[in-house]
Amino acid sequence: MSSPFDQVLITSGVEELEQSDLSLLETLDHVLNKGLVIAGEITISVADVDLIFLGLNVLLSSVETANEVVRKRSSE
Amino acid sequence: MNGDSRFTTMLYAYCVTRTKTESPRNLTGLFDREVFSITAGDLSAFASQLSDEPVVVSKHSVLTHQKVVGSLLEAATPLPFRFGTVVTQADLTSYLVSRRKSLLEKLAAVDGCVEMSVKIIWQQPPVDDQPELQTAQPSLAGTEFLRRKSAELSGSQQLIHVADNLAAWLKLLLEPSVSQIHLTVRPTQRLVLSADCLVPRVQLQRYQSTVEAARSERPDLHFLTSGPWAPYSFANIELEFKSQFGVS
Repeated sequence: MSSPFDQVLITSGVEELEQSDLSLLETLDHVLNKGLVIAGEITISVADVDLIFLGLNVLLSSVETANEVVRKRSSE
Repeated sequence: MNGDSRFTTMLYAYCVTRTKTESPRNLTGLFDREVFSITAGDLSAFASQLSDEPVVVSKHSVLTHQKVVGSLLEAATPLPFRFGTVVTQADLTSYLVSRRKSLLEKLAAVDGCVEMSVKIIWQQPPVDDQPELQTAQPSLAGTEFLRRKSAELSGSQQLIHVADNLAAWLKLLLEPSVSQIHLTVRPTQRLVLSADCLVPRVQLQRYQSTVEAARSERPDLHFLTSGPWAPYSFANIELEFKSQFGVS
């Protein structure tokens, strides 16, 4: 899964980002991509593109991954 | 909460800790709901109640998730759930019971530690931006095509070599102050190196001094540092995923 930073660095330089943007990027990089997963229903929806770019690819990947979990469980 | 509601009440799960970990008073999570613990023997999971609202991936909800996990990190090192983990209380309890051994082992491995991250961005452009290293087009005359192709391969190998050396340099510097380190190297990207480090709390100052020294030693590189985090990178999510669903 790509890092939230990848797209940012393609479209703009890190020097152009404010510290708050970088902090959000780091938070997204950690909480969306990593951590324990429990085999339960993962219900999330993508909305609110007040997130810096970034994450749309990462967010969609997370949602797709979550949906895949739900589909596999449904077929068991 | 009565027995029947355990199977229908949806919870948003934040992290797993040993049962002795106390939750900060008045800690609230998503939708301003109180955070509480679900206990199964010597393990507890911290969660908050949901009703029918979907968990929206927004700046506010992501930061709220991190706020809760970060608050609990102050008392002891938890194993954080990935954002968006919504389960019934029964499933959460079942998870703690069925994964008890594995979770206790993981908690022991991260006990007393926090996660610190270092990302290095280099000014060196990706291969495509260097004229000699532009992808050789098949339409070029034979000799020129071969020359460009050779340069392309040589340039890529050079980048890989430089990036690998950079990773080795950083690892050597950080190893004395970390328990574990996960390095990701992307030689053709501007974000050339990501390091997630499991750092004992007692070594934090030494770790931070080392990173500052590295930054001073390489002013040609841009360092992004962050932490402390709960050990998201060391919760071994992939192993859990693969064993449950066979996802590769």
